[in-house]
Amino acid sequence: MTYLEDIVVGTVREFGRYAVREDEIIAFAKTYDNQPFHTDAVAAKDSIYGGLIASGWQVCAMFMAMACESQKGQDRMASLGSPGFDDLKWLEPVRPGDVLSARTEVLSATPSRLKPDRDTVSSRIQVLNQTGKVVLEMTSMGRFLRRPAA
Amino acid sequence: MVMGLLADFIKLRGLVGMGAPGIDRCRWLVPVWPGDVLSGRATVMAARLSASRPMGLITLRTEVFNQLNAKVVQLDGVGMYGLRPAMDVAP
Repeated sequence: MTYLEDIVVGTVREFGRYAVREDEIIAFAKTYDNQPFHTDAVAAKDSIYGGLIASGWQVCAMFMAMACESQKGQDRMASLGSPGFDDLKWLEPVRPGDVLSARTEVLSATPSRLKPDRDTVSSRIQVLNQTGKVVLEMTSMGRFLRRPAA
Repeated sequence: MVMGLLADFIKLRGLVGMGAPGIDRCRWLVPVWPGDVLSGRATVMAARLSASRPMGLITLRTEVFNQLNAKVVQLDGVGMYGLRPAMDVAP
């Protein structure tokens, strides 16, 4: 098990490869974000984006797919889930054919005021495309347990 | 699911949604379980014209509730919306 003490502020990780497909963009948006610039390549041409783009929420989900994949086979984290995130920015459109990767940086670990067994870890999350442009950025929080006293 | 609800809201109100630059703050407040039935509420906190492009910027607080009326998520963010054309008379 990996505990809070194993998380080092300042650590940068680069991982993941996610090839974005048009059919996946449309299928997601038809269910979860049914707007023409996400679902209709022809209508999207006339939008401010000039073509079909992925829902920003789907890009968040693509980040999670890369993050979970990168944790496979690793020690389980003593994670208590996430209370939320701040300053999510969709900086660049994500289009069919893009290939995404992820970058995370541990910003801080703040002890819980109420529960001494855990900290809230703040991380900067970035998703980049194949040209190295940051397409999505956010500051995400996760709660992690301290290593129990032996 | 939030956007599913919000996209419906945008269409119901006849709004021309143009996407969003981001979300200032999001909090997951209670877990969503299988069988839950969710509903949404969007509150316009502020609306202004974009200084750089012909569009409106609406600051929305979006909340999702479960069937017990417990708030499961709250999002505060800005969305971009189309402006009514000058010649288009409101019904």
